[in-house]
Amino acid sequence: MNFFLQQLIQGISMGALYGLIAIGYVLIYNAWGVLNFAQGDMVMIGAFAILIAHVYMGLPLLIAFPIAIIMCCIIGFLVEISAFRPLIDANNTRRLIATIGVGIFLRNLVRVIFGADPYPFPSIFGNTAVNIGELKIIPQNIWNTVIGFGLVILLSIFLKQTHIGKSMRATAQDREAARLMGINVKKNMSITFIISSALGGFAGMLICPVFFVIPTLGTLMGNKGFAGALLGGITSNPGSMIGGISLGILESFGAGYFSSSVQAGIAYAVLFLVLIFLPAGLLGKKESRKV
Amino acid sequence: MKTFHKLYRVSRIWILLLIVLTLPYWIPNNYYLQVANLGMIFSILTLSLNILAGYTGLFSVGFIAFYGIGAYTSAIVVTRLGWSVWVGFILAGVVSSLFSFLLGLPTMRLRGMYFAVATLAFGEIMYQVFLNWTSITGGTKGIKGVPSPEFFGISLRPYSKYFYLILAVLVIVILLTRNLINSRTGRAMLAIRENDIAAEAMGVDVPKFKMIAFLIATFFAGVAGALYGHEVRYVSPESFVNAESAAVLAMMVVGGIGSIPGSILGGFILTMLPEYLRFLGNIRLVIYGAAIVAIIIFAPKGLGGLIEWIDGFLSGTLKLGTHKKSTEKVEGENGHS
Repeated sequence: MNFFLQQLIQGISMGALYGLIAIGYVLIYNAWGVLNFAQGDMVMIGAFAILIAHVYMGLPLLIAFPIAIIMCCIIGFLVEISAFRPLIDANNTRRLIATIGVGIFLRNLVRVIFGADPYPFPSIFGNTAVNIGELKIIPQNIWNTVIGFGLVILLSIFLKQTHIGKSMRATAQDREAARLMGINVKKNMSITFIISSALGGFAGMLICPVFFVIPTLGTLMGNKGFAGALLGGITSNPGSMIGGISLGILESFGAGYFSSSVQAGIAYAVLFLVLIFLPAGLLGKKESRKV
Repeated sequence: MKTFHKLYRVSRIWILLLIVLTLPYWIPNNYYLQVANLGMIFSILTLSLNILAGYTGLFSVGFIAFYGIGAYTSAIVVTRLGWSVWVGFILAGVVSSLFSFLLGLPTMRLRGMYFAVATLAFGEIMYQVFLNWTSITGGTKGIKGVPSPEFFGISLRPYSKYFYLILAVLVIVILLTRNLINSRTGRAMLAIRENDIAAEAMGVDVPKFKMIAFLIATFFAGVAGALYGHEVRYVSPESFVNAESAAVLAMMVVGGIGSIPGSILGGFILTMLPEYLRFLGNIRLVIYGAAIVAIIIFAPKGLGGLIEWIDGFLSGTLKLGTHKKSTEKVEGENGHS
């Protein structure tokens, strides 16, 4: 039973991060109509941003975190304005390829600057496990979960309650109608990209102590986050968190009860199975398509 | 001027043929000849991706996996089973198609980006198979000593001779692709690309034609992989990492989505260019990424559009203003449609 709970906690904490990445996919999918294949690379950018701020510049974490997030926002904005904004009215195919191009660009730019070697990152919350009853819990796990859920709740409040959030949802629903209602669609697009970059980057920062910081981190985490987003339903914000956490738990149990080599394949297996049997995901609505 | 246009129209194919056939004599350096061969192999691969992505609208982000399957199939049956290299070439295509059939059965119902994601996962999985199934693929060590083919007793081992084999395959692939596009199947594929629901309403069996495109494209990709294996005579997993899929995608986009001459030039030039720009090192892929985005934004027809324009200009069929914007058929499509 203890082992079960232990794996569950581990899975939830990892899943919360997947959820954070997944929600970035969902936000952009809703606003823009295609998957952003560069979303995973924003996770990697986040990891390198905190590496620069904390390890290279030697800033304390409380200052390093906001700086790294601002870096992510700036990069997300630059990407949006240079690569995605010119394609705002282009067809889906061109936009999809553009996101792939951006992903290749970011990944390899970081590789050229930092090299392909993995960088270790010091633990943020300490490595000593806290004993709760019989369970040993690493503080990082708790913080991942808390921050992950906190950000998603904040995001949904932001989307439901604020003026910008409402206009973002309107833009996502019908871009033309939103434009006619006097909503600044371009500005909203930028904000959407900045928020999803920041969320992806945040997940990258939290992952740093668990994984090594490496340019291909984005591909790995991007695929996990994407599998989570698809499992939850690619159009649903809360769905992506549920999908991410489900994936995290599945992976954790796969690693715990079978072997760690099973873990790597689970995301892809989930991806295939969802694509085939449950294309709308757990919470997504079935899309009706028009010619 | 009129006579010039006429002369050009009559002679263009012969001039092109002359240039291509004498290419090995222009490139005396054996190393660059090998790169040129590799460039043509990538032309075949790019063209096959174009059948799938450019003409049918199915974006494969893990396409290099089929190239790898072809390379491994041929290398395995030739080195382990001692079969003829020519059988290896055919089998490479067949096995590659077989894999695409199995992958296609569940994924043919998927639309654009979902299909892209499924192929991405497939590419990752195949790379792991190449890497970890040591008893068959040799793991990280790969398969050494893949023999060169012989053609009626003439060894095709020298790059200057192997060149003609690749050229022959390339020409066959070009002709087949051209005929395919102009056939009923090809028109069905184009209809699916433009709008799959409309195509279905017009009576096109969408999953069937998607599958046909997938099988044909992966057959060519498998043959290209076998050509690669027998050229470098060594097959290892590093040649089939997912970054290579991105490179092939870049070749297709730079060449021009849905353009045959564009694919050939895109594959060839983007293979040759890094060799001449070796000092750039890893920046190659950075430039690829930026080039993909730039071409998608500024010149969606890529090099193919440029060739069409020059060809139209020289042959006097160019009408000003007609070469623009003709591909933007689904312009303004809403994200959710």
